[in-house]
Amino acid sequence: MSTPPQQPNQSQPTQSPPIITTPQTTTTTISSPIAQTTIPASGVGSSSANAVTSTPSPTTTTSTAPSTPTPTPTPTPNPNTTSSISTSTPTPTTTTTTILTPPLPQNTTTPITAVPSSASAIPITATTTISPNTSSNITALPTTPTTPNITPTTTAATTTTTTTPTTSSSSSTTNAPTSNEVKSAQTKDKYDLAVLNYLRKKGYTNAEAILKQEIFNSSQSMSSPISPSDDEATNTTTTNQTNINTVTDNLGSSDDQELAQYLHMYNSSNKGDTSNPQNYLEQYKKLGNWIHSSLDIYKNELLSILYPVFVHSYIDLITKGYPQQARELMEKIGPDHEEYFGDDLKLLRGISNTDHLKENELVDLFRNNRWNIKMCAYSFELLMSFLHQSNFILLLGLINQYIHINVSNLRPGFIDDEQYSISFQSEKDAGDLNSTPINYHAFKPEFEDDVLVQQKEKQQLEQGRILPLTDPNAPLPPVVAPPPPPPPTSGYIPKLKKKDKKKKEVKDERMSKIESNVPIPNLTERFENELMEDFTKCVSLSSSHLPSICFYTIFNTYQGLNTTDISKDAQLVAGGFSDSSVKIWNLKEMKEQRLQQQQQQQQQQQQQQNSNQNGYFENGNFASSASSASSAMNGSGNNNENNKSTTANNNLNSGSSSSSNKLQKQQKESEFKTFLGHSGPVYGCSFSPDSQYLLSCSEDTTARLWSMETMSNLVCYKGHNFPVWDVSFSPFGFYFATASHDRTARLWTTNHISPLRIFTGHLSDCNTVRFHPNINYLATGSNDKSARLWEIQTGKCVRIFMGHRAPIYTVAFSPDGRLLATAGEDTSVILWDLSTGKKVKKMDGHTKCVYSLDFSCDGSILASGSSDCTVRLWDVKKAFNSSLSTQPSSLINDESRKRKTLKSKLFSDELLETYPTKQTPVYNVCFSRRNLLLASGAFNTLTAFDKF
Amino acid sequence: MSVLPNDTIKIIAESAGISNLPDEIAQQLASDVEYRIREIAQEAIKFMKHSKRDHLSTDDINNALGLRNIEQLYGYSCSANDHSLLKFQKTTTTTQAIYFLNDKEMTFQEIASQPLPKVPRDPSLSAHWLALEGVQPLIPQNPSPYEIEEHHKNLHKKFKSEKALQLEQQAQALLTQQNKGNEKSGDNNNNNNNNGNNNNGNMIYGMAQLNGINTVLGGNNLQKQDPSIPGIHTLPSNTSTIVKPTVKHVLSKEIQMFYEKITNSVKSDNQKLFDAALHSLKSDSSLHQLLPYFINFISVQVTQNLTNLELLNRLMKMAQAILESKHLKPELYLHQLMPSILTCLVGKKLCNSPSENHWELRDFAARLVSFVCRKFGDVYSSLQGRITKTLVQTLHDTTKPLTTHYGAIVGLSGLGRNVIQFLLLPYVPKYYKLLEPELNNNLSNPIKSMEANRVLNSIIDATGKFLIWVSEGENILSVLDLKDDTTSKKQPISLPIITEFSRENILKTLKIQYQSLFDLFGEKLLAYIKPDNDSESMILIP
Repeated sequence: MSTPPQQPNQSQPTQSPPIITTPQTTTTTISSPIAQTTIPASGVGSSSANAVTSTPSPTTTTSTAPSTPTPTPTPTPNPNTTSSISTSTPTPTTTTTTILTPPLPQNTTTPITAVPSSASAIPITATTTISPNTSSNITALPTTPTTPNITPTTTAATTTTTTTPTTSSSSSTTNAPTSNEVKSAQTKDKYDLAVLNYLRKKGYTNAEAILKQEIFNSSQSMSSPISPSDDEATNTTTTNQTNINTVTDNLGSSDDQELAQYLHMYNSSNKGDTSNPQNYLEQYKKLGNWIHSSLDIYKNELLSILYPVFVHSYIDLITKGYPQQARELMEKIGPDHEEYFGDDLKLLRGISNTDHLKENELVDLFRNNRWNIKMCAYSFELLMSFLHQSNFILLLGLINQYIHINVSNLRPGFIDDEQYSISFQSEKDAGDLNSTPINYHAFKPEFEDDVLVQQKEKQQLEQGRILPLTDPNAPLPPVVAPPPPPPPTSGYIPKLKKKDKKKKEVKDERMSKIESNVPIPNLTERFENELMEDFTKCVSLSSSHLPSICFYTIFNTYQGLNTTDISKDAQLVAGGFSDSSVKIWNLKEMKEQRLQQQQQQQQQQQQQQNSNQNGYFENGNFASSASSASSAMNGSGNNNENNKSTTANNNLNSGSSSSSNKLQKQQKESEFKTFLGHSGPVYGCSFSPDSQYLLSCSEDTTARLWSMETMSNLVCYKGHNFPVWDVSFSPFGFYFATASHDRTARLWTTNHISPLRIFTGHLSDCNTVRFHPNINYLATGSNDKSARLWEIQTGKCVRIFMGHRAPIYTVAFSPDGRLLATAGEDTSVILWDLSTGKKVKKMDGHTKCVYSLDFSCDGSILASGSSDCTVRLWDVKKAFNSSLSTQPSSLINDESRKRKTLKSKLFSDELLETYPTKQTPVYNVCFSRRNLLLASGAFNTLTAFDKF
Repeated sequence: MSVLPNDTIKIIAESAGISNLPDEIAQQLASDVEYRIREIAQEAIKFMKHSKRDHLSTDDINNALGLRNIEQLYGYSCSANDHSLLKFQKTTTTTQAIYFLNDKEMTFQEIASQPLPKVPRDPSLSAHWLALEGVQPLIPQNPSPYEIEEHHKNLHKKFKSEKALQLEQQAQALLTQQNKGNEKSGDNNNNNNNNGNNNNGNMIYGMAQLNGINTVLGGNNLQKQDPSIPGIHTLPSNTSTIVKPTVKHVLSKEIQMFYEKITNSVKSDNQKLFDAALHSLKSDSSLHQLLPYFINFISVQVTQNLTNLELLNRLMKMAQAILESKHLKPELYLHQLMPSILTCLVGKKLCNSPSENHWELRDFAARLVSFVCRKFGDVYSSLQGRITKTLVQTLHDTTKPLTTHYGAIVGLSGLGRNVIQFLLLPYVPKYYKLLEPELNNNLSNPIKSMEANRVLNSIIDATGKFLIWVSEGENILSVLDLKDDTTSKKQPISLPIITEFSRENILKTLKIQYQSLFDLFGEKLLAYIKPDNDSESMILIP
């Protein structure tokens, strides 16, 4: 009996304004509900729905009380609505009469008895009651809203403050039944807030008090209002899920966001836009404070989110038109990230306009690709709960939109290695790519089979496996072998014909033997013999047997040398210069000429002859001691030969200074040969494996092929639109690849002037390119701090390697095809496992940019050359074994981790040896086919190995 | 607003013919110009990196402009000499600092009158060994080990200083964050005061919402500050531990490899390799860093291999090489080296079986001891005294075995005639009585009898050394002086004045002086006295 009389009280004040129908008052009443409805659209809808639902129940009870209450409301909704409309007009008159009469108990008794009497006397009483009601309302309004408004607002505020932390705390729990209760509670809170706001504005203090009492009653008894609220909650959640792409699947958090957005809309409408830009800086500072004050276990993971949030806040401020606040944010927060992200900040500081944002590459990277971060589940929950409790809506939006947080089930503290991993790639795409299978096994040419008879049986087994691979070879020939266009020179035609014939032979002969999917022309007999001889004379290397290093220094370059390359047989050295020339030094000829000079000197002066002989004998002793130390006899022979030639060069270098002018002129003429043809600086050069050809690439967007026999330019390859940074021959010639500023790498053949494949996918310049030993894959290093592996046959990207903090300038494959080494401007060398796409080891030791990497012929040693004037050797086996051993270790102490970080920053354990030169940055390191390490660089007086 | 000031833009506009450029437009242009310059610089840096240079040059700028399809700058692209790179100079005006290139203005007449500059030399190639089988040779093209060592030291110092700075910055950042937190709470109080002043009903509700939010944030701030306090306490302890680590002596890998080779050659059986190692130890001038390690190696190996006679012999030869080196300064480490040598001299048992010839090792060690005393006695004045004292005590200790006594006798005999005369010879008669029973027991214990004979021979050798010296013609007078003093008191007339040096006369005097020794050894000592052929011609008249 108590509840029904309260409900008609609610319905009556909502219906009272339309009846009070003076023209002035009607206009004011019409404007105010429109304003109210616009602010919370859902609130108004819910309130109106509740009003409609509440009104029919009392009318049905009053009308059908004498006859039959239960069956009539359900079957006939239409007559009820009409009856409610008819009854709605007389009821406000009764309410006005009740308002006029001051005694309260009489009012409570009169509405029951007065209903039928008022219906009969409608026209008479209406005329008399209109004028006194309006006068009484006018007098009452100014006095009542002032005093009662203050006290209910404070109580309402306290209730809202108490409810919001409870909802946020409850949202952290992920239990399903509690989430349902949370939904209903939140919907009620929203509804109550909206209604309270409306009532407060209208000044109905009694109604507010009654609503509060009802809130307490409803909180006590949860049963009756659950079902309609659940329906509404489900509808709203479905719409919210479609609208908001939240990272988490937590329903509680989505409801919390809805509530937060409601509050944000309300606050933003009140405040305006002036204080918005300050929120970015304030919220970022608070987030930073919270992260720095958290435990060390979670701190390392949470710190990784600060930089992307900072960058996107900066970009948002500029897009919204607040350059001053953006600059303030950069000045205050920028120095914190200067150490690791200085290069990016330099670019961002220059941006102060929306037009700049559209043009800048880096901003496109940040906006169009999501930043990947790894966190354990607990750290992620901590972060989300903090952001929700603090109502950091701006940061939440940034994180949801531009950052991809990969939540893992590991314990906290196991994601330290990924602390500052930088990647603009989507983690899902990278994971899918890295999981595709790869046939990375090494290619086995014929000469190895001839030498190693035992492996023939294994090869026969592999032949059985290789047979199905012949089918994919069939579609390739029409793509690879189009009709050749007319060459620029007439003499070039017979070579093309010869190569075409060789192609056919290759297809017939090696279809069952070659494991490669790409056809390869037949090798010449001389080249095969050379390979066989080198294979037998190869020196075995290990951590205890380090290689010998022969260093070629190029003087008088005036900082114009851009690149160098040494042929595999250690006879030719090429240099690419800034004046668009390529120069070749032939070491054999230099040796022969210097021997002649030595004979002349001996004839001239006997004393000098004696001193030279003594020096030669000393060098001979040195060579003999070196050869005695080596384990392999064949290798010692090789070292002796190289040692003698280089010592002869050294002697002759000193001797040449004392020779006459004529000899000097002769020497200058014969020292090097110059190739002219490019119209821009030469940035890359590569010898063919048989040392018959040289490729060079230049800033003029072309690559050129030079012949060592005729010493002339044979072909000019055009296809890139921007400077070409690197060019590389495939391990057996015929194919080569180029890397360019236009973010692509291209595959070419030497007998065709247009590219066969274009590898696209990098987000910035391709700095380097290298073929896999089996010629099925291609690796590229880029300015976007990632390296990629491409399949040559299909042109697709099959691996993405992300872990460097700076552009990558060199990549190298291990001879067995399993490992990839990358290095660049961040001075660290990283080994990757091609089968899994994961990082094997990160090795530190260099102090400046690393220019070159190469594996030894047996894959046990990795050599690196750097701008810090040092050549360093790394133990590949140790790195691989240590990475395997670290994975199964379950627990790591904090202290040991700190020590590791301290130690690893300076030198890694895998660093075997460091060989500094005095003032020559090491441009190139490469192992010859006999495992002699050849290095080259340009002498530079402005730098030295001990300058940092 | 931007790095470029507005005045610069206005001046450029005036040069282009636009006067009275408004400030707003200048501001916009300044930000745009800054962005364009950064863009060009980014492209230029790519060209610089691919040219493997550390300095940005005008060619790089021109290449970057070419990429943007902008006309290039013309003029001198690069200077002929690397040393005279173009450098900016600085002057300060009233408002700001101005940087400019100090370019000379040259007239055509000057250029025409100048002689032609030298043609730059052509690039040349030279080759040298950076490493041979993993060892970097010491040739002029390669840096010396000293430079490499200094490089490593500087690298470690730099790393440590950077680490300390990082930690200090972190601690300061935490402190500043705490201060900011306190300031924020103050701001909240101000907001609360402001809320009371507002009379508007709508604003009251809105500010009440803000009050709620601020109170929640305030609570969070209070909660955050509590855990940060122990964080600050932990950081200083970390910094103190990290800032003062133990300093280690850093050896380059070449030196470590050399050390391993030397030590392995000592342990191995290869004689040629061992000889080469000894030669290197004697003659090489750059091994002073390894000296403490070598001496430590010797001491450790001696204590661990007291019965390995062959290894002990090689270790003593190694010690000899170190002591004879001109470049090393072993006197600084004698306190570590001498115990090893003395152990090889007077050790109880220096071999596995008595048949091995450990006597040679003791003789060699004795020679080393005498060499050390002669060479370093001036520098280390108390050295010989201490050694002598130790050996005498060892000899007088009757509980020691005969082998030890042999070593002591051999050692003392090598320290000079004074030691023999005053410390060894007076003890010989007494010691002979102790030794005599062992000499006669050939049947019961032949090994010990052999050892006793060895000791007896060493005593005879020591006595013989002294007699050889005394039997020199010039030295007999000292003996006579002593004799005269003693005999003058007792029997001044009994001895005649010697007017001639002859074998018989000398023999008589020695017999009188050392009657006990001649009684013991008899005719064995006669071999050490020189014949009298030449001495007959010498005549001295007292």
